[in-house]
Amino acid sequence: MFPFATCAEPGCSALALSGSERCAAHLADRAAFTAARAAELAAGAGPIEDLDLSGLEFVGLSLEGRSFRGCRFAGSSFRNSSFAGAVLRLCFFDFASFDSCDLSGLDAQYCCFAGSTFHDVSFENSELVHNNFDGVSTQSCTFNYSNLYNSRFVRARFARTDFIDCNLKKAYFLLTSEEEVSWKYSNTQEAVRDPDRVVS
Amino acid sequence: MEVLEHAGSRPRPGPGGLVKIHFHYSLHGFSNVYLVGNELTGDAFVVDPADFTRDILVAVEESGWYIRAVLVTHNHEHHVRGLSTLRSIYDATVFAANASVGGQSCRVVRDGERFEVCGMRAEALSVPGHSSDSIVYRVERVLFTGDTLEAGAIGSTLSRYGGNLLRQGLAQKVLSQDESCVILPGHGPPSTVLAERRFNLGFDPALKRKESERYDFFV
Repeated sequence: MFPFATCAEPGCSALALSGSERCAAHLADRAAFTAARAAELAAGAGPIEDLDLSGLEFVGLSLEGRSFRGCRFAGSSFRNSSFAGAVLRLCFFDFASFDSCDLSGLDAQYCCFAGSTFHDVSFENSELVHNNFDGVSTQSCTFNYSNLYNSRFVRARFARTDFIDCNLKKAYFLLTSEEEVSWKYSNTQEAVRDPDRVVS
Repeated sequence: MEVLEHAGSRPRPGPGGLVKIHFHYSLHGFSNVYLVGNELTGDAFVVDPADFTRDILVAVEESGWYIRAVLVTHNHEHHVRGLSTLRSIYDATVFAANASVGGQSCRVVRDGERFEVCGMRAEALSVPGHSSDSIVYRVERVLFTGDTLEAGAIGSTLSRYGGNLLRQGLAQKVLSQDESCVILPGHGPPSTVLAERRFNLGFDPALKRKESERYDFFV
């Protein structure tokens, strides 16, 4: 799991980033730090564990087929980046931003994307089992041919987003707003759409 | 297995830096089982052993860990069914609000009690409502919420009083934690305190009214 050390800045309770004693807001040179971390990520090939790079802005990052476990990218932004075919386990991308990214063929289990925004993002052919998408905002996105078993989309806002031929068993879609959304060939009857059906 | 070397993997002062968490989805009640290990000491604990399967056993042994403790969030069968199996293999202390769970004697925890588990700082927070014995465990910056709170929803209750009690406890003890705290619930995917403050339906006034009508029907 990502380290729980707090930022060295007096009075700051945010978590320090990997490779620094400070959080993103208190880095002396955020651009240089981001570039160095992005280069490290791109150069490696093996699994990435316990990394915290929250609040940073990445452009053109290619992490195709990489494996992540226990990592945190909360509040980070990704533009023109690819996680295609990547494997994510217990990773946190809450309140992150994805713009023009390829997340197709993703294998994500037990991850948190709550509060994130997705613009022009593809999740096609992905295993998205047991993930938290509560409060996400999607625009021009596709989840087609994906397995969304037991994932949650509470208070999500979908615009021009497709869920064609998806497995929606035990997936929560509660208080969502939908504009030009297709559910064609998906098992919508097995999704949870009524708050009264939420039982723990 | 190759692991990317980064500065964050350096040993940090204090026990919080090298915590490993494995999750297991139990088909018995669709519950989450968490295995938490301290890489520095080799000690581990399990939260809510709904099952104790071969996969969990392999994860423990391959990591070179020994399970020293079990944290029980509440005494419902689909969260403790694997407890006796676990105790037959490991001599683990069981922490719970009850003196006994599934025939296993427990170390009783009280609201606000702070203790150390496997070299990590833990705190027990009593949040009744779903059940009278519901405990949320805070371990470092991770909250194991059991059935009190899950991503986007709060636990089911049997009365309006129970619902209000649960909401009050969650607001005072869980959602008041630092917004970056991780929430690992008994069911469903993980979340964070900030995400639950923003999106959880349990605090939605319209849904609360609807819930009240349902209770009135049963009364």
